[in-house]
Amino acid sequence: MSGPAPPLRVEGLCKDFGLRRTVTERITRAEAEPVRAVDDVSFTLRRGEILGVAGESGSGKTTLARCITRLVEPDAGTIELDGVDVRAARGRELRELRRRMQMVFQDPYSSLNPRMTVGAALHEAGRVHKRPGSEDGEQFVREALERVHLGERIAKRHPRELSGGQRQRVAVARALVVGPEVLIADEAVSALDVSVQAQLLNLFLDLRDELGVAIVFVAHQLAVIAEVADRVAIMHLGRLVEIGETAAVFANPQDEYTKSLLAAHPQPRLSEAPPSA
Amino acid sequence: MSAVDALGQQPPPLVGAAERRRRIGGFRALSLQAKIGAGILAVLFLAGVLAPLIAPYGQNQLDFTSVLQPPSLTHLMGTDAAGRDVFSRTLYALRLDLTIVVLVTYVPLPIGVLIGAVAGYYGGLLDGILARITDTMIAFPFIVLVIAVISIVGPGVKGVLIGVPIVAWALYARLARSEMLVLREQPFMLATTALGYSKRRAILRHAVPNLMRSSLIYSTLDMVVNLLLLAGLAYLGLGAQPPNAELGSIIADGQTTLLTAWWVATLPGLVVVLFGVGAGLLGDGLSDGRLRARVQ
Amino acid sequence: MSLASKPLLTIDGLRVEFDGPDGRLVAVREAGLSIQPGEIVGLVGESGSGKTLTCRSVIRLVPWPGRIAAGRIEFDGRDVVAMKAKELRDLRAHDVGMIYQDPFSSLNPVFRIGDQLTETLRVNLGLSKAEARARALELLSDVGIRDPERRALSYPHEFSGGMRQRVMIALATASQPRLLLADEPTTALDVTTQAQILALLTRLSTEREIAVLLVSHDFGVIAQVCDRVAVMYGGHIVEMGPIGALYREAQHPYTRALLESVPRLESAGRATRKTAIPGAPPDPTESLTGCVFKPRCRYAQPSCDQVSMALETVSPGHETACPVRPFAAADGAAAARAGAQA
Repeated sequence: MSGPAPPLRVEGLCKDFGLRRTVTERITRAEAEPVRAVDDVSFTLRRGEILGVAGESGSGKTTLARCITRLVEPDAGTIELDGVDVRAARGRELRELRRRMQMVFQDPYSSLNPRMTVGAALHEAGRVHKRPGSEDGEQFVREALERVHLGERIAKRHPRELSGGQRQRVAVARALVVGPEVLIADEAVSALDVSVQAQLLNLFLDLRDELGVAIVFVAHQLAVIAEVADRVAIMHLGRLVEIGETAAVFANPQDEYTKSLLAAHPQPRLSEAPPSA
Repeated sequence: MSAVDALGQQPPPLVGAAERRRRIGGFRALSLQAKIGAGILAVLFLAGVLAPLIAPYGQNQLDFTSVLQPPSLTHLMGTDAAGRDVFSRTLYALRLDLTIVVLVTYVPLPIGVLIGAVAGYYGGLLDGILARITDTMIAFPFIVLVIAVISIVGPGVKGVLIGVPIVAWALYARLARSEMLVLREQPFMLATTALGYSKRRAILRHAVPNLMRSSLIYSTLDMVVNLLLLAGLAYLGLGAQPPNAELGSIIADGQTTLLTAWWVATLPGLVVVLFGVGAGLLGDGLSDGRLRARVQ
Repeated sequence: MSLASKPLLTIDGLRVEFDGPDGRLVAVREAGLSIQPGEIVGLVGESGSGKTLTCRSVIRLVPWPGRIAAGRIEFDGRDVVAMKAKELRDLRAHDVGMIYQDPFSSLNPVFRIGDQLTETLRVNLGLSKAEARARALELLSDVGIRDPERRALSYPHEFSGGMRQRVMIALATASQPRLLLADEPTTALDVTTQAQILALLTRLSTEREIAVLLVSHDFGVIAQVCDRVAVMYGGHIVEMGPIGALYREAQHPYTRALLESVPRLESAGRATRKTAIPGAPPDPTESLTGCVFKPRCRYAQPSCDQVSMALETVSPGHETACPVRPFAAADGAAAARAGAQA
């Protein structure tokens, strides 16, 4: 296959967690069966795409997201960021690789340091990685906030003074500040109200269209995936059971689990779909 | 801090404590309870700092013509068996005692928090070693250690200044460590790794400011305990030696005349109680503030 | 759905306030709704809309320092707001049950499931030990827990979220209440489990004639299960009506905007973007004049500053707080076109 390397490629990724054993089991030294949180997962993130990763709780999607950035160390498999081996990296090299694939977490109430102002957090990220423009703190922060459609007055505030939607935007701004090529959004909109969710989803679409960032979008709600993802990967009990164009997978699921997931999706007791005003 | 050098008749001024209190947060953000507590403590600390200026008499000004006088306008807390003004003695005693209390509480605090934070963040073998050392220190009988130190260096405040910090850091370390175990799983801490920050930055810049709060709240209680420890030791004759005024020794001296001249022991004792009340209100008030934020 | 003229529950002019250090917070400014026996009514809104507090007010479970500052709550003709302690306990024990969002902390972790059930049966219904045991097993299998004898001996942590929720439903319906308050019962559950729990609620409601007030922020959940829906925003009920009417002809701009924002499976592969509602919901400490939604409304007029947020009837059973009705003309035209083509 010729051409530039894909922004992210994952092959055969595995992660086991040792089961916690009850006291009795420990005494009798019973064999503890490890939990396969991620079981031989492979996929490629294409340039400029949003890849949705869908699954219920326990499917391993969050563990997968954390394995990619090595917040959790995978047990086996390959992770390549733009062709570079992520698992082999150490120290400064690892930090640089991490800079290029940023994460946005689920909980807006704890993904920002409660004791730092927004401006301080954004500026710090810029300074640590010596981003261009980070010498001029105010300007740097202002631009960072603009990118996520927040006013510059937000810079002086602490997270507790912001709404959930604003906090998530700040989290996205912080991730963008270090200049990543890949964004990993781990249930980034799941804790937000529906109307705020819509704003954030539009933001992610903007990032894809205007900044060319490739995004791995982890979510448990299929409808959210439908709104934002170009392709979708379905996860079940650690395995990736189906992957393809979102519309195709939802219209014509091949895997049994995907079918049951779609069937369980709440159906309104009406014949017509809601109108668009 | 060159605490040991500063020993003698004139302990150093008490700037550190007030500054630390102010750093806890904007004063206006405190609840009424915390403000009252802080106010009481501020008055006591100020009284200690200004003792040489506001004390009407010297701390050892003997006057055998006015022995065991009840409280009056000339002697606000009366006089003791040697004619010394109890009020002035109390002020100087506050000065000495509070200095020691602040040193002995707020020097171990940052050391303990740092050790606990590092142990909690790294986990594994490092945590195991540090945690066992911490647990050993906590299990140590405080007073026995202090008395042992005193038997080596001699009576006086030196014993407390050396003995207490050896153990005191451990309580803060344990507190910080258990909070760190929870804190490090918080997304914003994971974010520091994802953002490629060094562990040092993650611990010092991000974790520790969040860990300080509960240690500071605990320190208000710790101050009271330390003051009582000092007073207790002085009562036993092991603390500051005469003629230095020290709250415990004043109270001990007044014990013999408790029935006839109640003011010698009781009024300085009330000052100790007042300190406890102030610290308790402040500590309670600070921890309530945290609860309030969660209800939102 | 029985069309008894006398509603089982009536809420009128409810106002819930919190007096905090930041001033007075009005979480529910004015809410009113009614539920007929056996009906499933949905209460939908986003955070800060006041829906949870409205639900809790029905049995006066408002956490301190909040309080019911005004309003009338009538259950089966009895005035709930004025009830004394014993009467209130009676109401909670026998007439109204409640299930909560978090199945992981709503069951006592140190007691077995069976014991928690028998406790409520013995205390609230006065059954003997043996009777309670038997009834508890019945209840467990009623809510779809297989092998109830063995399961009753388990502790909550040995159950999955869905099973815990079933146990909660069993607990709440043990004393045959006439009304079940369900506060976001499926939010913490997977979509497959959610589907099962919703089916269970629907079945219980029909079989046992239990009315349900289902509070949720998820319109999909509401639409699947409810007969009628009330939409809350900024502490007010802005629209109320049968689920079909709301879907086809919502009259309040917020309801429409909310429906538009809801992510839909059908959007997969389409390039269109959702028009998100700009701005943010109102701060509960602000005092607002006029329409609560005006700052974010596409159709706002100057007259909206004088709107009282009182509900006006659009058609039988369908009410809205928006006097502007920007959609009425368009809907009428669309209906006419559809009729002409038929």
